[in-house]
Amino acid sequence: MKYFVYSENEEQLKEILEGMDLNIDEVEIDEAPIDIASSFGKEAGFLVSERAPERAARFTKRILYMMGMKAKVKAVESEDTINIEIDGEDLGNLIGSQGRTLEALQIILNAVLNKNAVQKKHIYVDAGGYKKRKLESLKKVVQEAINKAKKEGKPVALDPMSAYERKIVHEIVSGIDGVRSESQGEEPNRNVIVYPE
Amino acid sequence: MKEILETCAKALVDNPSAVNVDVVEGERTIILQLKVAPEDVGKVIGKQGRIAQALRTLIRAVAVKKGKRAIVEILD
Repeated sequence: MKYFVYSENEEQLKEILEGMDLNIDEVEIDEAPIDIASSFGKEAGFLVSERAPERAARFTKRILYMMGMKAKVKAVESEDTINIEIDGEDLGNLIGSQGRTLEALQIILNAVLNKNAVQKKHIYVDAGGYKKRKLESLKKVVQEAINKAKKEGKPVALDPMSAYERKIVHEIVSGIDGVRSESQGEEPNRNVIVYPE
Repeated sequence: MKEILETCAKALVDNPSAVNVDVVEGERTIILQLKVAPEDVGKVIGKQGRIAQALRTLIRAVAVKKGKRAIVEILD
């Protein structure tokens, strides 16, 4: 990934890179082209290139270590996403009730790893396959609701879900003929209703 | 806990040397006061407070393991 770093001198640049958990010896540093600098509202600065998955894994490991966890971290980069997979003991505490702590970690990693990025990447974090399993069971629930709505010709209300889960539900339903979906209610009780058409 | 908050905050701001976390530890409650440069406050709070909320959730998860309640205050 490439980052734009604004600093007036090398000393300051080094300090900023340290804060970003980057080692000045492991990155490539160039002067930033004017158009990139101006897109960050500056006249000049540095363009720092680093290997995104390594940095993502290293920063995640550091946080987990400080949380007192023994965990393995694997990060894989694709075109627009970095997938971070965490495995280890005591994942329950890291995942949290309804996956809220894992979601918090994902929000922080997204902010940290995309800070000053010239091109942002979506950071997706899973622990012990928790989200994968949740997605599978969500797909099942939606399929059952679709079948029921079609069979009985009546709307079927799903349980309250997060915005991310609702988006997945809408995507699944929109790909199937004869049904449509709508969200209703207020957070945190906002839920999806599947309507027959 | 202090270390996590400090590390995350430093990685989020433009002035990492201005980041400081003070800890006030009670019997059951631990208060972490995060101080950042005035121009960096928005960076640790995030849009609609999303980042501040995420930092609180993460710190709380660590505190729970120690049987404590954690409060994260962001000072400017």
